[in-house]
Amino acid sequence: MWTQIQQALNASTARVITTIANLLPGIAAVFASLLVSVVLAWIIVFLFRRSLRKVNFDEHLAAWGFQSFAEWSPSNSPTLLLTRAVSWIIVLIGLLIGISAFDVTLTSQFVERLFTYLPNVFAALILLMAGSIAARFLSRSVLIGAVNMNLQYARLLSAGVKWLVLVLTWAMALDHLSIGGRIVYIAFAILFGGIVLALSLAVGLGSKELVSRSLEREAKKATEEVENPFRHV
Amino acid sequence: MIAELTSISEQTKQRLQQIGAVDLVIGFADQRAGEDIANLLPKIHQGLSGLALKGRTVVLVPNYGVAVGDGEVVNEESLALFQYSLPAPDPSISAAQNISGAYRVIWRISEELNARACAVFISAVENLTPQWIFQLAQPVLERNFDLVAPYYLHRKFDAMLNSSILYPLTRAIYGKRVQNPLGPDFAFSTPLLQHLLRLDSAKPRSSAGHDMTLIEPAAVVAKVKVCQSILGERTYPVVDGKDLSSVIAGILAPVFLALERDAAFWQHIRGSEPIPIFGEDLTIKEESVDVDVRRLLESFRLGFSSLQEIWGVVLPPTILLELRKLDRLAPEQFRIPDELWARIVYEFAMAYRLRSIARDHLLRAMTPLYLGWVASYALEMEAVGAVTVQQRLEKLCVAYENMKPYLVSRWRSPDRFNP
Amino acid sequence: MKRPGSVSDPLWYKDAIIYELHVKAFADGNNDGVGDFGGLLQKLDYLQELGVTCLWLLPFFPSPLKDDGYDISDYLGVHPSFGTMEDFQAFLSAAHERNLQVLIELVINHTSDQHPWFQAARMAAPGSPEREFYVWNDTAEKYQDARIIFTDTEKSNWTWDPLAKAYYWHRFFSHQPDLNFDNPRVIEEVIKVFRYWLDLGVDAVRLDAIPYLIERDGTNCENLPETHHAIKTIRAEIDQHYANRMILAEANQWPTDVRPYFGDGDECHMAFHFPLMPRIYMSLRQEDRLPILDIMAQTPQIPDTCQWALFLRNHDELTLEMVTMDERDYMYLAYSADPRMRINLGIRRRLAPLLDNNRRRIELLNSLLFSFPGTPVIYYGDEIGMGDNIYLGDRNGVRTPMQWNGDRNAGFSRAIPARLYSPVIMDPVFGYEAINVEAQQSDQSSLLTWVRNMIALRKLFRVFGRGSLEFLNPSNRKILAYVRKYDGEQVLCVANLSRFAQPVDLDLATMEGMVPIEMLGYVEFPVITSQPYRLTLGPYGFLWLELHTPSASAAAARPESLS
Repeated sequence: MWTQIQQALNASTARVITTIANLLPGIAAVFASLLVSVVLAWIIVFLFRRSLRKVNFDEHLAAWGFQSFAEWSPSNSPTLLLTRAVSWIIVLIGLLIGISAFDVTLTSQFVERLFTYLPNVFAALILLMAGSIAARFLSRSVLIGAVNMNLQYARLLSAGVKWLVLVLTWAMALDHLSIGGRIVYIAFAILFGGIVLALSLAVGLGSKELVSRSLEREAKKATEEVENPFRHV
Repeated sequence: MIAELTSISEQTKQRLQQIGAVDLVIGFADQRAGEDIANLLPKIHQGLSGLALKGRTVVLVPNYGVAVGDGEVVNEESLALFQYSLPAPDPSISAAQNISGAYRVIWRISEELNARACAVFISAVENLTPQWIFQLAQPVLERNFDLVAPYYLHRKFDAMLNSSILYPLTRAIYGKRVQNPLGPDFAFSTPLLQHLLRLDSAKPRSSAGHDMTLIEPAAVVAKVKVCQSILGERTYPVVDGKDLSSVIAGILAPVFLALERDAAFWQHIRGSEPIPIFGEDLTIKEESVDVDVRRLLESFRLGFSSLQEIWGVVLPPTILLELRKLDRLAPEQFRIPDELWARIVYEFAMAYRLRSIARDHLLRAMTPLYLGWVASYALEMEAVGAVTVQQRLEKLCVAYENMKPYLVSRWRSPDRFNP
Repeated sequence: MKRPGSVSDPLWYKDAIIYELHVKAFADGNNDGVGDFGGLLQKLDYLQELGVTCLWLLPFFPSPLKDDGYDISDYLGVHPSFGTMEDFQAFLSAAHERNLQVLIELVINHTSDQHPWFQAARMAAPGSPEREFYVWNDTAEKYQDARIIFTDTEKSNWTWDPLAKAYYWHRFFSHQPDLNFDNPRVIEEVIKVFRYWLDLGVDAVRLDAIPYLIERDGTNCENLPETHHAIKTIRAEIDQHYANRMILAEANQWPTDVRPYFGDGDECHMAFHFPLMPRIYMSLRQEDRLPILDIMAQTPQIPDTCQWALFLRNHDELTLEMVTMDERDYMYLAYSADPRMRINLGIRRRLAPLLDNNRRRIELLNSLLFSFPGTPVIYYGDEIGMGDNIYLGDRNGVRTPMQWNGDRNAGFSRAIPARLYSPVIMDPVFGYEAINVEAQQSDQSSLLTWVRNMIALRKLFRVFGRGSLEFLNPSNRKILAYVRKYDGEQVLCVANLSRFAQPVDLDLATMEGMVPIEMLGYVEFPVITSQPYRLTLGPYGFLWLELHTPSASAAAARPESLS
């Protein structure tokens, strides 16, 4: 019986050691890949940061209306945020490459799904950036246009437009990331509709008199224009 | 697309070659010139009668949007009248850019014809008198000037944008006292219009229409002979309140661009000098008009309260403080000092150059300030006559000239840490 | 045991260079994330080398720290975060050994509501001695003309106390009840506090919020005659028992209202010149000397034994209380584009960020600080050009840890970063990796080196601290020119407030024949004649010219100047 136990132990030890031996290259591959990706990330980030600093990325971003981005960036520097994001992405990729070296079905499936998900993440990020820029630009256009049309509630309109665009952008981004699903749709619909309703109420009901006076003035202006002697060009 | 039509078709070129020696080309941009040729021709003939012409005169009238090929409509011994095609004015681009298309075609035809002089009339054709034709063409044909700029007689509340910004600004910058630097009616010598065409083609084309090089600044920079001619009375159209900001943006954009392009030229110029002026200086009888500046002041106040975030990027603290004080004034006391106005215009020119904010937004955001100036001017000039108006505007021009060192220093040191 | 102060000259404060620091922000000796006396002790060499002569410590007493230590709950102790009484005494001795005087804060106008006096007062019966330590009323209607100082947080100067069933008076936060200086016992207790610290050997005391000691109905409760009487009583006590001590008054008032705080030399020795400070910034931005000249013209003469304290920035917001509405609007527009930078009636930014980190501007303003009549007060960190953090609440953005080197936590502490009492400044421009003492000490061109040299230069000349002031009025308003005279020393200071080079013609006819010698480089300038003296200054340039009589200058001339 002792021999049988010995045999069983030998067999199981051999099995485990074989498995470990099989896994060892994989593990080594993970570490090697990780190491390479860290070094690569460091180099790329160094160059990337220098080039961003050279083109004064932070200042341009602020000028384009992206100040909120600066606020939740580390040290208020979108450059740093981007470079850190880039470095983490590179490291992550290295890790994934290493993991897929294990050649185990589970991990490769995971890796596959992750890689198919990544484009959505990039798309969502681009959406957010574009939406933020668009929101700022549009709200300014509306503000100036409304002021030039003598609308007293110009700032309200401008804020409303900005939030409409932002809410839309966020909803689209979340949709891309397949986060929330229907709840996001409903929340978005409520928010969006709510903002529109609030704007209409504020403009219509709340400033009912103002609007009617404004319309009255518009009607008068049509005649006044002819009476006023100013000719600009 | 305007771009495509600025080159002349082969067919047109052939027809033009058949015309023979041409002295003067007169081009019209107003569509109604083409519609009412019967009334137009006698005026032209009368205007030409005083000129010593050696060759024929070609008159070009536009035919908007109609896909009729260019062709003669009238062919007399001394005068031929051509129709030329232009697309209908495109509402999506500024009026100035629509006009620039007309200039280009007329210049090209004139160049093709090798005429001695080219007179372009953009103003509404109702304004046209024989005097206009004569006054515009004669200095080029007989006195060897390269550019004849128009001098209009108008009422004190006409051409407000020109009086408040365009004339004083270009006078201080380029050093020449041209009352209407943006015309729009000019006469050119052939060398000048060839030069302008060259400048035009050298510029990169943008998809949103094409700013034409400003004519008078380009002429001054090229150091050609420039003069003014008193054409006579001109009526100014009413600009719809809603469109005013687009008009302002459309007019100021090429002006500020010109400032940027010609920086190396104008920074050396100090003061300004008058240029030769021809024609009879008549004064228009002013009927007294009542002005209601309430709406203008409303615009100014609304702009002040709502556009702080934009004005704060463009204007330095002292100017913002002055505007705040103006905002608090009672309507009767509302007066914008000339130096303050000149500084504001210069700061906007600087912000345009530095792209502190989107350029279109920048120029449109200037509208409430401009309306404030109009209100201030109107309150001051309500009860005065033409001579006082002239003196008043001269004072404004001098203020611009005195503040030019300020612009130069800001241009060369665009540091935001300034008073 | 009564220890003497560390100086023998009764007017030592006229030649002093005061360095304001917060114990919690300077250096952490025990690595708990909060600065303390142990750490401060280790940095005394740095301070001595910098050249400052007097250290002003912000309040370090036991306190609930709801107002950064200005709410004191025990006048006779040291807050445990900062160390023990022994630590303080060790620091004090070490400072005195290095010939550094120590100026502490005594906030006598109010205490914390956690102070035993207040706790007793709340529970005591109305009219009882304990109760009368503070100012109570049944309604909030009394003293209606007194303004609210912390406009951002307080809506009234009265707050209801449910335990005492009455309103108590507080000019500042509601957790800082005002002591009742109409009560002689209060003055007695306050004097005991003074004597405690002066016995330990402290050289000077800053009286915080001194105008608000006494209240009277129908007045604005500021600068009342009774207040001055109370201060004079305290001063008399100090003079009687101690030698060569100094009282510095914090009275944020117009110069004519500050004048009474000097008395006839029998009240406070020094007082801050608050209104001058914002006008320096205004003059700089407007490129016009008028704001400075205007306020100096309104500044009255003070007794010979008294002295103004001058400063560019301090631990509070850049206060705009003592300016006109237009001037305040201008300062907001010019220096705080982001509304987050504003608090109460001021701007909570440090010196370097206010000046867009422009080295020349920083040097120019420091040159004014060191050459104007008064004792300069340097705020910690401004000698290296530290930045601020406007996202921290209250005025904490200008009270971030001192940046010693580029290591973890800026070398302020070895604690884990999360434990720090405040995050260090980390942005690329002002962050500790860019701006720190270690880097600047080894850099001959650094701001720190420059400040050190300027302090040393100033200490060579008593005229700056003790001399008279006479402004010249050249036609170029962008030039600020003034002459300082004292005991045979004459210095001409010329400053260009503009960002562009400026020419100036100075009328120096009264000094005809004298030879100006530029002080930093000891360069001889052309001799003064009866004709206008022409100078050209570069952007934000300044000149300190010591004026020598011809024979003296010949002796002083360097060989190089002959070539």
